[in-house]
Amino acid sequence: MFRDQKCKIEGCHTYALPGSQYCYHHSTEKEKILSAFTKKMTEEKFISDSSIVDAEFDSLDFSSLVMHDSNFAFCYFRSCTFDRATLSSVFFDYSVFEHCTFRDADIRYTVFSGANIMFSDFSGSTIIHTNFMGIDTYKTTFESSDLYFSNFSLSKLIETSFEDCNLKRTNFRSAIIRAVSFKYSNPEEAFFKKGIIR
Amino acid sequence: MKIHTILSSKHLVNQYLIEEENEKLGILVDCSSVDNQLISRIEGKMNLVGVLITHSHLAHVDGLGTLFKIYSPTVYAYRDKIEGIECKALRDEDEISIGSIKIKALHIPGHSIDCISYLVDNIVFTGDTLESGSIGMTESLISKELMIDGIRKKLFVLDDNTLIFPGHGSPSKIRIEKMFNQDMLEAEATSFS
Repeated sequence: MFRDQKCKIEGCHTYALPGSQYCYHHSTEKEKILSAFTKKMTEEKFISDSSIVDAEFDSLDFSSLVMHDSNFAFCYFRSCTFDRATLSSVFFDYSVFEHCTFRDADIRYTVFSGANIMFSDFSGSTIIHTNFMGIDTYKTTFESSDLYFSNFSLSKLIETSFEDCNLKRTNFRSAIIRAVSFKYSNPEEAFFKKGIIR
Repeated sequence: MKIHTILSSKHLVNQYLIEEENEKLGILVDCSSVDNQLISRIEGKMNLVGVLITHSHLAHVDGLGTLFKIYSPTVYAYRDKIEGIECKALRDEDEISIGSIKIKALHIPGHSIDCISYLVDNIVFTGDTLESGSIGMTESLISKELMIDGIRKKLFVLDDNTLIFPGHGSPSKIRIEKMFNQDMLEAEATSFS
């Protein structure tokens, strides 16, 4: 897991960057740090135990990336591809994903809670035990994905497709759902109202 | 420190294996079942020295008997005996050290009388007390109030960036639960109405 060290700046509770005393926001070498992160993610295709908060990633190829135990909260991903990526215990809470793809990805125990996801594609993926609470989606697809035990409660899903998905134990409690398709899926095994979820 | 999440397919419970790589020691959080996945994570990689029990419901302790046929860890729990196995009893705010890992027990009764959440660095293992989006089931309104009060006073006072690893479902953070946990939001709305 990423280090339990907070930024040295007084009043800043953000996790510090790996090997640094400061968070990304308070770092003086933002470009260098971001470039090191993107190099690891695009070339080495492996990242773990790292934390970077409030960073922007634009038009990057993270396909087949293996990523675990990391924190990317409050980040901005624009036109990034995570196709065939393997994500485990990664925190993307309150991040923005615009025109991103996660096709055929393996996503487990990951957190997207509070995120804004627009024009993105999660089709054909295994997305289990993943936290989507309070997300906003627009023109996004989860088609042909396994969403077992994932949690979309209190989310706002607009023009989003859940066609041909496994929705066993998927939680949509109090979600706002507009122009959403569940065709060929099993919404009867999902939770839409308050109730016992196990 | 690494956290390995191991889903018990028998009870659909999340078990967590805390690995301290430098000291090659491991601590298991809950022992729902012992299967090949768990054993292969331990064998040759670490010495399993401790088991932290979040509460003694069968789904969270069913594997203890099997585990003790293979390993001899110290079991920490609220009770002093679970499934016939001696435990080191912990009380609220007790702090223990296992190797270099410091653990703080937070006793939050409600789901059961013996519910303990364990704070390890920036991670809190909440068992069934607090899950992503919900709180544990209770047998009475008094138990529910007790649990909600405990969550407010002992978990929601932690730093917003504290990670939550619950007994069921997906991980979370304290900030997320403060914003989106419907059971807690409903309880708050009720208390103001």
